[in-house]
Amino acid sequence: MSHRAVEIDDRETIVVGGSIASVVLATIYALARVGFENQMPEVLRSLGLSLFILAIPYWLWRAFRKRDSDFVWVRSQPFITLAAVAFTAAIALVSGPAASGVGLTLSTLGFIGALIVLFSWLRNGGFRSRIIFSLGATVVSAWAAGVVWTSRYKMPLYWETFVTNANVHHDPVYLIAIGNMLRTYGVASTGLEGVPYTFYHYGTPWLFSRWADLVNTDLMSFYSLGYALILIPLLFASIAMLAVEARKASLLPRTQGWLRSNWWGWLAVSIGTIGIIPDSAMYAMAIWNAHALISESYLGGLPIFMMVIATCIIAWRAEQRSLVLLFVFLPLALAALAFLKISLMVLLFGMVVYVLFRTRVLWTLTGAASTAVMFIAGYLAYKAVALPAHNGGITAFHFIRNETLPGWHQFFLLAHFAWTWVYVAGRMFEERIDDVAGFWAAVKARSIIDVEVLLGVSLLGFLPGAVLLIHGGSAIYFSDVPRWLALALLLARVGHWRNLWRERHGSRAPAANSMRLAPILAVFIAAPFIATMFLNTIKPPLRLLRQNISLRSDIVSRAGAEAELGAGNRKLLVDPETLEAGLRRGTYYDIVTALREIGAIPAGEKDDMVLFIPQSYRNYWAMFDVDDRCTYVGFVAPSVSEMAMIDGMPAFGCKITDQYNMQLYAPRERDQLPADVTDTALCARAGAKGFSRVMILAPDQQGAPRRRVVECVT
Amino acid sequence: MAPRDDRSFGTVAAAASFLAIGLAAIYWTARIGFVNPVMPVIQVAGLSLFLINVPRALTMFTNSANGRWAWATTHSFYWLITVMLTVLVGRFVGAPALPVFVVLGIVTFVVTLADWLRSGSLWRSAIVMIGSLAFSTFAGGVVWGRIYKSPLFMEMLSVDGIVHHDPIGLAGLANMLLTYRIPTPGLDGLPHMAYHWGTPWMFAQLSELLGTSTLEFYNFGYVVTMLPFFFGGILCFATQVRKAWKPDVRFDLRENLPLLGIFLVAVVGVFPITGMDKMGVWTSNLMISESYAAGLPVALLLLAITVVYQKSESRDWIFPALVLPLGILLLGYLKISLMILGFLAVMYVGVRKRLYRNPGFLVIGIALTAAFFFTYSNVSLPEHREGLVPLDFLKGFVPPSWWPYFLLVNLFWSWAYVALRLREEGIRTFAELRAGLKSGNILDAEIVFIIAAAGIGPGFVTHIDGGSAFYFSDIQRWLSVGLIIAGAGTLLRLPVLLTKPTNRFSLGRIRMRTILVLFISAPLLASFFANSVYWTQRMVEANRGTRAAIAKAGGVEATKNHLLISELLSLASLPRAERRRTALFIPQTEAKYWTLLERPGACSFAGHVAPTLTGMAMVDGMPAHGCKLSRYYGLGLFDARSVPQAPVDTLPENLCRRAARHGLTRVLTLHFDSTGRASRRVDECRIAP
Repeated sequence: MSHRAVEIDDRETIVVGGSIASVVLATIYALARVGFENQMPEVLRSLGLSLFILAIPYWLWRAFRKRDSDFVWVRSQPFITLAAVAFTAAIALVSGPAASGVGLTLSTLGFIGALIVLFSWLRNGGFRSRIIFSLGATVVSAWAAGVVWTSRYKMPLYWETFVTNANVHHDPVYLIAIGNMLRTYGVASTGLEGVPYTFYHYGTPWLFSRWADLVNTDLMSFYSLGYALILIPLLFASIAMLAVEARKASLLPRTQGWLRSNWWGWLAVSIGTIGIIPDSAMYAMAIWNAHALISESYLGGLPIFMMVIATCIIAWRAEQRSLVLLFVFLPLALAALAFLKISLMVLLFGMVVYVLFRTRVLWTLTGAASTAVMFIAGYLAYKAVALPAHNGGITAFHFIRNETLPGWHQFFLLAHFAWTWVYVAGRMFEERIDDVAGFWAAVKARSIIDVEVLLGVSLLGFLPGAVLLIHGGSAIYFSDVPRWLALALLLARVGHWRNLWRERHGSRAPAANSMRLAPILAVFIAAPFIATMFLNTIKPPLRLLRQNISLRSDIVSRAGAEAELGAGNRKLLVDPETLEAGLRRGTYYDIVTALREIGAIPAGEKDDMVLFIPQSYRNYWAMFDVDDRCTYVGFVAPSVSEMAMIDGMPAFGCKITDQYNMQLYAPRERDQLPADVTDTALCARAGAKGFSRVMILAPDQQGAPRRRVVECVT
Repeated sequence: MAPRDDRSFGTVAAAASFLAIGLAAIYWTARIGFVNPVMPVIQVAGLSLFLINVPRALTMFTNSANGRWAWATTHSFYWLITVMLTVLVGRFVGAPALPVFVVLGIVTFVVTLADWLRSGSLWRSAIVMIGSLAFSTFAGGVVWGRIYKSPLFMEMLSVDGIVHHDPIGLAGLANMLLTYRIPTPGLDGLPHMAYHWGTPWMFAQLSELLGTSTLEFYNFGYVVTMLPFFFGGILCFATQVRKAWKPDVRFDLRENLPLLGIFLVAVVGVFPITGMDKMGVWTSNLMISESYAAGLPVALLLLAITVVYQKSESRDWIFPALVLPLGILLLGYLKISLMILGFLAVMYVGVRKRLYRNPGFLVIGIALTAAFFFTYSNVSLPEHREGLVPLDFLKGFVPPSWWPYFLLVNLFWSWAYVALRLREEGIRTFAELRAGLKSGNILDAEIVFIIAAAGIGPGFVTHIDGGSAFYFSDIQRWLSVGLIIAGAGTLLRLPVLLTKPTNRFSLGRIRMRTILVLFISAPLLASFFANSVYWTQRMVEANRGTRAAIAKAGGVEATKNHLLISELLSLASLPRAERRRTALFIPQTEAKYWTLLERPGACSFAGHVAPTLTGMAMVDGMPAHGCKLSRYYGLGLFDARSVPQAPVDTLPENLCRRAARHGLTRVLTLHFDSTGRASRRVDECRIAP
């Protein structure tokens, strides 16, 4: 089998796997919305954009690839994929009002590119493994859909939930507010009182606002739709890419199709992603398998992180040291990661410095200078995005003490970093390292540098939660990273270990005329774990279905058709007229619709204007009161209307959180007075923030929201 | 004197003795500041030492017979006989005999301890002694860390009445057995209750011997005498079986400390308690249930004797025809689950060994079967037979996401034993398994499997109140652990821990495998230590909480139920002959009494308090109209009130008529004032039954 065929099969497998994930997610999203406002164009455009990022780099890789270019990092698939991500954001930025048309073109290219990959992949035979791989990808994608869309963070019926009962999580509202302020005013801000700069890793809000332009949708819709369709497949693709590059760099033998038929490897990835023990046990040991998909900054940064490492692996194998990599690519990657997720920047920097140190490059002028450049790039980016309130100071084992259940602390190291230990054990086996002396000899010989790096990242990932108080359990975004790195490395090597085991121990000869008991024992022990994994896999999609039906039932009831539904007319759950009638009776329908209408106004018409909603508009300001989240309600208007507010802090008496950059604004010290809401007062306030117009959204006598614009005279 | 190397049971006796001493010390410590005379503590500890060390002394001073009477000269048999004789002395002699037991207990303890210390290395002996004392804090914590039993039980009752109803019901039953010789809850006369009343009867006799109340015995005497019997019984079983299997090889648990480690792992657990609870592996219930704690060692010792009998070269008929059947039937009175599984195991062996071909065994089998069903009907409460409820235990006590692990984890020790035995026999394939079964070489593994399968069955198919299916499924744990310990050496090798290192230590020579094992073991070990202190902490917190509540009330005498309880207790000092013909009546208007127990749903058990504290049966003693009644604890024997108690119901003639149905000729009516001070009225009945 030619080397070329192996390479192509592997990389096509990556594209096909990612594409399956995109299609499955898009299908589930579309099905979940049957009967509601048609978002099919946005779904298809998001799917197309996702396929563009997955498939077009593959074709570019094929086009650029030369016989001798196996280890040229700029021609590698991960680097080209990174470039494609950057390209989509950049082209959206520069194309301005034409972004929608550009997005349509990219989506079309994505569909075409992915379809050709699919045909190419299918025509090469090996159907059994391809079918199993495809089915596996479908199942894992359905699981991912269930996880990402049942969290209150993102939902296919996000708007519908919002207008019905506002039972949505406040995190995305906060992030979307930042994204919208970037979109409208070009400033990272939460926009509660003008647009003061917000220290936050706002890379994903910015990136998503660009992608939302390409998909031609609002940012809030994109968070539920495009985010999932693009980034979840990209995460899986990046794991596979890193595995392929790691395998390639290890110079281990590769046969055609090893990636798609790497069952033990994929099993490990699935177990690592979905979990093989009950979710209550994982939760007890602070293994949060949903967080990777729910946190947009983490899911936005993780594939980038993995692909940067994959690119570095290629560059590391190259004979000549690349100055561009050291002085341009890595500093830029570090800065970008700081804007996406600070933890990933810190870990990448640690890894790079360690490798430079171990390869003795660090002591050369080039190494030292590039390290300094990387440090400066990372530091400057860090200073621009680090939120001081997230740093709670030094507290020993804060994460372990607070995020693992009592009685389970002692399992944290073992369980939380389980995949690191599995990989290290596998490599010890591979290298025949039997004792500490052997380990030390291997370290000195630099033959297990991958193990050293993984152990180093695990230690570095563990430390923040062990010594610092990081708000909201966010130390997980340090300690969870080694899991994905280890899984990718495992995917690269597990099959090889299996072959080695057989070589060293010989395959068991079947006992004459009788079945062996050992496999029965193995199945017996494995059965509960398999059953748990099956349950863990199907639970999220079923939960999604239940939540969807529950919301539809609520909406149908609001339409006055509860009795008919109770009598068994299930068609009402997907009947557009009934659902529309029910939505119109949603508690927040009027206010959310009014804000969405404001959001539809082109950004160019709003960039000198701020929004004011008087405190007397209780339907707005009491939106989150039901579960004591009044502190976050101010974010709703910026996130939906795409406009900054003036005097947008929550009501007097509301306990204001010390997170979410709320320190930027002064809490109310008294109730809003009539004098505060005069046009003159509002203009004065807006003028002080650099705005010349104020849009006032207030209820009329019937309680319906009415808006008027006040032109402020300076 | 036995040969010098025959000290196999010395470690069993020493460990159990120090456990008993530790528990007694904890009890006394927990009562500091209250009425706390030291003599009763010494007496109970002395009695416990008697029960533990007399069998050991007998094995020291008698030569084991090797022939047909081998089973009758085993340590296990001596232990069972010692317990039985002690109970009988309590029944027929009572407190006057106590000093003899205490003195003999202390003397035999000293003698056997000295002999044991001389025969082994000091540091290993010290580990066993200190370990047993440390273990007593765990065991004491489990049994006294919940509201079932407490050194301050009476004080808890006085403060707020928040105690579990189990010991109240059982101590009441024991009192009825003492006063009226009838197993009855005594809520409205003396109807017979089909219940496994073996331990209430046994504890009633032991409390007579100790001169304490049955309730006191449940809270103290039971713990100090029966928990060492429970844990010592398991170790004795392991040692006895080991000696039967390998009579020529010296076996002392003290020389195999890792085996004691396995035992501790099985008791304490290496997973967090919350995790074990989720999989239905409960660490506390085995000590909280007195019937289980007393019954299980009896069953295991009986099994150990059976193994010795089976290994004997020549056999008598007394054991199979008399001792074993009676032992199994006796188990029914202690814990029904033990009788059922024991009966099944015997029948299985009978079938597998084709003993039915022997007319003698056939007759024994038929007689045992008949007696088994008769006993079952006598000891099984009809209310407990609630028909088929699929997966009831799982649904009730195991979260659904943990169901897949239930069989694997709950029966872990059985799987481990069966797997190790198959490995030991070189059985690798189905064909070899079939051959092994045919040859009968793995009958022990078959029995373990049968007991595991039959034990897990009831919880899978029927509803048994309060999670009591656990008392079926848990039996295999101790059987398997005992057998694994017994099989050490061939069944189980612990090379790393048991052999001495042959090379000088150097960091580089540490094997990666060792590091891996240590790394994986570390959190398990940490869980083990966390579990070890968990219950102790709970016991201390419970003790502190009760003390704080008493201090807040201004002393024990000032607690709200103190006077009422004292008044009821004072009735227990009436002569037994007088009490035997008397029924107690407390009108429903006496809210101070009927609301004594304050836990949610505890109104069901308010009627049990008076029989427990006074030793007298009640008449018309069912809880108030409107109280949602439990079906268990004998309440099903009586009609629930359909209407509130009317004044006419409280007339002496009506009460006498009610009492006379059960042969009681006198009614003692109690009224309480607001402080709990009682006024008594005695009505001599002249109504024919």
